[in-house]
Amino acid sequence: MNLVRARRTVLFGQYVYPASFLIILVVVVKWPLPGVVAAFVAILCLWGSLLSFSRWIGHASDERMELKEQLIQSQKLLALGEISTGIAHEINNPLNIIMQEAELMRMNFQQDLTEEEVSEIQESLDVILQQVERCSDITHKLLDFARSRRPVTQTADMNRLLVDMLTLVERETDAKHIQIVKVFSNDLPKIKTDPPLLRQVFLNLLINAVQALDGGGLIFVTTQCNDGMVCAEIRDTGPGISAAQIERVFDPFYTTKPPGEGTGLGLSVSLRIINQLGGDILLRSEPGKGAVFTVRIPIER
Amino acid sequence: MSRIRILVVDDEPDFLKLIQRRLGKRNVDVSVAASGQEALQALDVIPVDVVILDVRMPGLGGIETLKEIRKRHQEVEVIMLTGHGSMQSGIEGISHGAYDYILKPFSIEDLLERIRDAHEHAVLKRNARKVS
Repeated sequence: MNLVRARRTVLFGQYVYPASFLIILVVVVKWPLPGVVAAFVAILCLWGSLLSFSRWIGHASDERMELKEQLIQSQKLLALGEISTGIAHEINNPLNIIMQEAELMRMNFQQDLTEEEVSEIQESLDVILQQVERCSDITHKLLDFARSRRPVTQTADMNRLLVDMLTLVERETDAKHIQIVKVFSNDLPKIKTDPPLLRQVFLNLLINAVQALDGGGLIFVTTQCNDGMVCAEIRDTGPGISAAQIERVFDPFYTTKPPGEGTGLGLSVSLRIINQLGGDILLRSEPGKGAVFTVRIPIER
Repeated sequence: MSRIRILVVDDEPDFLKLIQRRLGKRNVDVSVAASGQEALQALDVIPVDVVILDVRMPGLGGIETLKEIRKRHQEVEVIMLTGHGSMQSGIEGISHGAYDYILKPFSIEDLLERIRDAHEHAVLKRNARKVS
């Protein structure tokens, strides 16, 4: 390894360099003429070795770059693999249902149709239509994900955006005995952002919080402003997220919900939107202690 | 400032008439459509900045209409008209790219403000596209 060799040499040189200087000094003082010659030779040697060290270091940094590139490539492949599995899984479930229903219809058609069979066929058709819609929903979301909508920024009031989105989920929270506690900052500055995209993100986070609180609980929605960023915090008192899950929740198609209920795209799309708006989403959680999502958006963009 | 051109889609003729009268006085050009299909046909012919779309309509429903509009007319912004009984459709509307929603019953001022914001967004989007 070039890097190890270079590092060892530099370490060695740390001691040799001053030592050789001292020796040369002594030699020059004692025997001036041969001393000067020896000094010249020593300087040439040092220069030569420094030259080769720097070459080694150059090789070493090239090697490192290569390794980094390989790592990125393999990570990309890994992500692609995960995404493909996710898509396949999401599409396979409805496909399976469609196939079963189609077979059932074919069987029904083999004999003369009784009234009961006609209604069964009708039911099958309804189910197939439903499942096709589910598939097209998935492809829509994928397309949305791929074709990142370029944000268009206008002035918006984050408190108001949040209130509007809270109103939308209120019906569900009432039914599930979930209480919402709003702690809004009064002097929140207006932000330059893309309101419909931000609405989508807040709605996603709120729906996640509601779904995390199946047996009722509390959702705290807090807004504040610090260091040029406007922050919205959505905290629930649900079961929380384990450290292993935290690393993956923002990955596309990663979901903890039963099949058919979540595509696993909500959080990855949200993070992407917020990144496009120049902000970030922080997640803090511990199992049993609920989860806290914090959206931070720069005031000026 | 240029007049805002909107298209209101609702299956209730009385509501359409009322809103046309009220917004017409406020620097807004109002066209109307009684169904989703009618709205899509109208959008092909008349230039519109903002569509106000009822989520509950017979025939092509609000969400389906929204999806079609987003597909065919990306420069148009959509505001969903939601009732207390159709919050789920409001949620779907926002996640399918509607600009905003408004809960019935609403004040005309509130609606107007949301229309103005949506119009501004539509204009900015158009300009951004022209530049790039």
